[in-house]
Amino acid sequence: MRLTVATYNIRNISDRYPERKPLLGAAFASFDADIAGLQEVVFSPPRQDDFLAQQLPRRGYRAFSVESRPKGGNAILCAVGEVQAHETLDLGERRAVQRVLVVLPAQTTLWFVNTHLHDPAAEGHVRERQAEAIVEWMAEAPAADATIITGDFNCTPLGEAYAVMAGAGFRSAYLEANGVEPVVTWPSGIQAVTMDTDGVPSCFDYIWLRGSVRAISARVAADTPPPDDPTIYPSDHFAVVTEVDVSRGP
Amino acid sequence: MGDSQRKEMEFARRLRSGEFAVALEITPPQRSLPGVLSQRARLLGDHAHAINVISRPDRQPSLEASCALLESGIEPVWHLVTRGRSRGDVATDIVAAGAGGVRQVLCIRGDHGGGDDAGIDSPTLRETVAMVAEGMRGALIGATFNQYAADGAAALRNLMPKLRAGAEYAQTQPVFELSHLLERVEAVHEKAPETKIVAMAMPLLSLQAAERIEKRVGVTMPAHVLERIAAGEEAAWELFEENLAGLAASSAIAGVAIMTFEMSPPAEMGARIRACLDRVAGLGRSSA
Repeated sequence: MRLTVATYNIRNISDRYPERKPLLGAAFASFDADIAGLQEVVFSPPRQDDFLAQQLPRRGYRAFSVESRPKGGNAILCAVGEVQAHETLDLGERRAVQRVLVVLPAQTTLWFVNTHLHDPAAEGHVRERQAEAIVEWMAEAPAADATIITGDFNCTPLGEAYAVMAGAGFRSAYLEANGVEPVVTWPSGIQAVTMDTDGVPSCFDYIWLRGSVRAISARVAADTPPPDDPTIYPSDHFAVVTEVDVSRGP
Repeated sequence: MGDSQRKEMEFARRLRSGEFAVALEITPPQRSLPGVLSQRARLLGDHAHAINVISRPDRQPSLEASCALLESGIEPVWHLVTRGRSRGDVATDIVAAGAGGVRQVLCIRGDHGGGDDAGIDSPTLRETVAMVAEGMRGALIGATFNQYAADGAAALRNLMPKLRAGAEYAQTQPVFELSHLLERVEAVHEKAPETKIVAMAMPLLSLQAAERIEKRVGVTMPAHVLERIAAGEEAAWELFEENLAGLAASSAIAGVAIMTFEMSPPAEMGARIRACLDRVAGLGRSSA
């Protein structure tokens, strides 16, 4: 079964939100994702997960959020299959990871996981521990045909957390489809008084695959400003969107 | 049953009988996760005669994980770390280990991150080995040996008291160049010919992994080793197998402790290591 999957850090309501809100909504709608992992979502009314879900009402997204860890702001919007479980794990540093078990047509099972790791650029060891915790959590999970992990890992392809994921047998969808990782997924280029400046531009956002799932295509999305203002983008991150083929495992 | 009547564990039996022994070194999970622990411990299947359970401050304790492995029929080597621990703590753990059926112990000082020694009356490693020998009679006791120490004589002086106190084997740091290791081992055997040497071997499949290990161990790998790793995964696997074959063929080396750079290596990596062990098994050795 083919699925369109997205990961997107939407930068909460910082960085000129009233101006970028329509861009954000349009960008999300353009992904036409079957399932999306979102980070930095604000859950106080008007909730941003509701706002994004409303951009594609025909999709009937169900939202699953981690509201006790506001720093991560994790949410999953799912428009496919039957979600049989939603679980979370505290990763420390006010971060969390969430997962939903989705039963797709033909009884294909999918763990869809979403996270947002610790952010200070110099603290890769903390992200490494958080990534290890995710790997261990998934190793203990009931078996599924496929696992997809989305997130803002706050680490480059040379970082410790990336090595943990790759070392545990997870394959980056973008790398699998294109042979290289994106050059940049943060910062987008947005100019704002409150913009985050901790770090060097690089790839920080990933969609990891394991099991009976393969990437057919992958792209960076939400990466262009409107024609009339080159200083504003839908978010301070770009999204990564991939089309994958999920099948029953052996 | 008294300690001396307990069945000898396979890793110990092999070391003592001169058969090549293989241990797999694993990191326990961050909390008690039996499935994760078991999955890591079973990476090499029957090719591993023991599971070295490393000790790290942010992990399930080595002793707890060792006891859990024993309950599932896997024979562990408990890493007894002394840094930041009092004599009383160590003595209590030794009693618990003996009661839990642990029969193989590697005594280690431990990383600086493992605890603060200030104000703590930690036993020396020599004392710790003696405490284990006294409290767990018949257990196989190991100590660590840093073949990369700038002063080889000092490294030997550091090892000898532990051997005299009852350590039967010395486990090295990861081996990247056999000739260098054998020089240092020769010096050990001149002073203590009965000492079994367990060499650590690691498949390093990328320069990134190699750089991390260099930093962790505090060594600079020879340029020719880095060139082989840089040539790609297949070349890196060949290097690992050559290394393993050299260790297995050397009469000075009693066994290997295999460690992976990856904490949760995929099953394919285990299969690859097992294949390497199959090919080098028996080189220069007689099987029992």
